[in-house]
Amino acid sequence: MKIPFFALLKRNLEIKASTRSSAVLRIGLVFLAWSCFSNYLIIYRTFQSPDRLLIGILFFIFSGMLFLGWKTKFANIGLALILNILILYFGVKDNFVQLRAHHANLIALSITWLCFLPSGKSFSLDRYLAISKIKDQKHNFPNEIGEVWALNLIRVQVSVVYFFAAIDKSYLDFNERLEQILQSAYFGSYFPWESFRIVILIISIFTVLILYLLSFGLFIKSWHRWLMPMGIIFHIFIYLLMPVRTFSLTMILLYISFLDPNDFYYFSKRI
Amino acid sequence: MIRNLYNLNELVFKIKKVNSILLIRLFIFITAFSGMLIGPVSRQLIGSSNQYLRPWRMFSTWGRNICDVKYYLTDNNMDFFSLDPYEFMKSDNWLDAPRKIRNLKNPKQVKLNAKKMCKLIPEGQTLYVESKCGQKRKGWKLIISKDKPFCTKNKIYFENGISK
Repeated sequence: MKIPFFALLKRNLEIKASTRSSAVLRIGLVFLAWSCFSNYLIIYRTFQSPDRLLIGILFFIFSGMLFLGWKTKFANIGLALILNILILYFGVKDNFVQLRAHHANLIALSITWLCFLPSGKSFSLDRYLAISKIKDQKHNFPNEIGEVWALNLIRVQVSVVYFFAAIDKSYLDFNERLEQILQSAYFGSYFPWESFRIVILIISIFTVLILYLLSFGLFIKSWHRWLMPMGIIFHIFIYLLMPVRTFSLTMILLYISFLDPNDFYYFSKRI
Repeated sequence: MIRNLYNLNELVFKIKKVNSILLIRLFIFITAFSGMLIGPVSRQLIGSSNQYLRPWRMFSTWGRNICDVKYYLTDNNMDFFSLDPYEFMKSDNWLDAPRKIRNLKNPKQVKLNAKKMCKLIPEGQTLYVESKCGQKRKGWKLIISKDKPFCTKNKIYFENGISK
């Protein structure tokens, strides 16, 4: 009796491959976390509130350690905890809008899933220290291979974000909502060109379609060649037109998780 | 039936053979996936209002504080001319109009602005206003329709040099 389910499990949860893509995700996510959270956590802003001061200091310690890749796993778990506390305690409970926004939530979740990746095996101080210990033995460097099954967690997270963003926009009046957003930001109450409403209608249909397409299509490797550039251009447009902050860059960075880790390794070697 | 039992037995045997690490990973994956879904499913599909469950709603409330307004002038209730409100205000066009003139945020501001326009329209003309305002996660909501005139500026007739 064949059991394809277990074959599927083995194929997706037992992936020994290069850890370089995980390391790039680690470094990129720390940069984005700094960009997103630092302004609210510097001592200047948190000094009069002991709990926020403590969280802020821990945030900078763990994020610094994770960026350098020093005691990477410990720093990763610490930063994931801090970010989730920031969102659920300070963001939701204390109603701090910027801390519970979707772009902050996406970074916190991505760093949480990063805990399951061996991101410290490449581009890290941990690797440097490991090599230093064995420097007498020529060509016996620790390899940059690890279990990267948790890339699937980040892939699924990206897909969930796209899918529910698409669900949220799947109603007949979405073009009118887009008109409201664009009028509020650019045109004001008196729409200068009535014919532009047709363009907005086309943009709204395209937006919903591309969100559904990205939520499933990114899992198909042969589609990457055209779907990823399409997604990147889509995110750049959103970034330039609306105040989405770190959201666009985070999504573009997370596309790395969809790439074959070994392909990424050879690409990184070539550049 | 015996064959089914045999298959089941074989299945159990194969499950036991599967690496325990793989099962731990599967458990982590299912838990994490459930964690990813619980927020958006409960908030966006079931309609929960628990703020601790985070949905993926982007810009659903942003930009709803805007009203779309159109002004029309007519002197015979048949031929309507679309009116550029910036001609009546401090700016020549919308590009250099101040934001508070450009963005009318609620029905009250729309009506106030329309009343200002009433004072500026030429004599003998009727002003029609069509306005709709933004809503949370919905399209426009009509607040003033073009069905009836908003205001009319009557002609002033002169008789022997003295207005009536």
